[in-house]
Amino acid sequence: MRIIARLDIKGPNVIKGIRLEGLRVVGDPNALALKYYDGCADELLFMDSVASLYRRNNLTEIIKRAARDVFIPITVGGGVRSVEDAIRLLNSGADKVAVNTAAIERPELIRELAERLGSQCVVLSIEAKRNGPGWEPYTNCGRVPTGLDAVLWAQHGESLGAGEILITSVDREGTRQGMDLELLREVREAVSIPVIASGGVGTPGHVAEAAPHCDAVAIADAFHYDRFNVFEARP
Amino acid sequence: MKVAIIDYGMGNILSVARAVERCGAEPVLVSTPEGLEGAERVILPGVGAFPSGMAELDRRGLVGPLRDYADSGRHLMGICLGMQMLFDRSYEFEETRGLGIIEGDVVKLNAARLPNIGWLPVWPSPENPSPYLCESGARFYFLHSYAAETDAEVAHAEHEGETFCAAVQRGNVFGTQFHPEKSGPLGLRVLNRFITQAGT
Repeated sequence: MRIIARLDIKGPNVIKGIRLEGLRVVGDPNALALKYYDGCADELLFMDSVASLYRRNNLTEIIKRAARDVFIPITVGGGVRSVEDAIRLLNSGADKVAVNTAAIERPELIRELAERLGSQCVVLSIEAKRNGPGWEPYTNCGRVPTGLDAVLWAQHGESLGAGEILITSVDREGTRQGMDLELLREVREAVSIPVIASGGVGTPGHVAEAAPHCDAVAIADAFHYDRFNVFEARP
Repeated sequence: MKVAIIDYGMGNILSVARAVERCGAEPVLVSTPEGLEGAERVILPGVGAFPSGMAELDRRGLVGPLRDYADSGRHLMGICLGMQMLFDRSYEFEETRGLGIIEGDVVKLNAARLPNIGWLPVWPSPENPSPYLCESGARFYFLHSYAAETDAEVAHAEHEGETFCAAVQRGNVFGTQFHPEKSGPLGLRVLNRFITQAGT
């Protein structure tokens, strides 16, 4: 199971919030990327946390610097709206691109990205909140409800060519109270592509709990605040 | 030492170039046959589907020149899709001819969950190891749904109980299914051996 270090970026900084709000500056992206690479993270995940609000992605310079010194896979998301955006990021050093808001607005984007870049490069990012018996995907950094069902949307994404699902529990993220295991289980059972779980890890025990229900765990808060490291995270 | 990296519009060229630089060599991006003249080390990277990869090589007139380069005895390394294209054919989407530099086919993995994404230990073949890949059980990063079936296998890995080909070598032609440029320091070491030790 992969341990992925997640860096949410706002402008030049890595930030961290709770339930995607109340963002605090945590550090410099390049310094943290190196720290996690040296610490043997399996992959890095850079998310531009306000990009969709401004309808752009600002990470190319950050990724270029990170790719120079970091020899593990890098996934980049936030504000990816077109195949051109994705190509620009891949040419800057990203190995995979994650799409959320733009894919919900225009699902065909997933197919276009998969056909041009290959499914292995396309991660469908879903940020979901509990809604009755199920979960509802949100766009624009957890702000705008979509009226969809997260599990069905994950399946739809796979059928359009997504190579991985990144599922973030907006309810749990930043809370350190554990991941939403039911959400993970349902998404993973619904698709036959790898699932990356994100949101809520506070202890290595939470990672161990999530392990049977996902293929990778993305950790932000715990790593940024040095609660435990990559080795301690591994179940 | 100059290392030519084939740029045919598919794959994370920047990462491969950075890794070559980290190994102390000079990356040179090549997208035309002329770029192969005088080259001593060539890397064929690749991410994406086999039919697209072969089409993009063909579009740039690189298919024949790459075969000639390999035939001349100079050193060639394929990475991921680049390794797969060294073979006779692949069955990804439709049966497509490869470069035919090494005998073998590329077929889909049997696993229920694909692509195979992640770090796996790689085991050198006892009877046919490669001098570039000597660590036993070292972990490298894979991202693929297809794998080669060939006698030129020099190492294997395992995913969901299925053993598959992790690396190949036939004389001057070497290939890894994993991404050495994405496998941390040990990956760089494999790349470095190809660059500095090939032919010694």
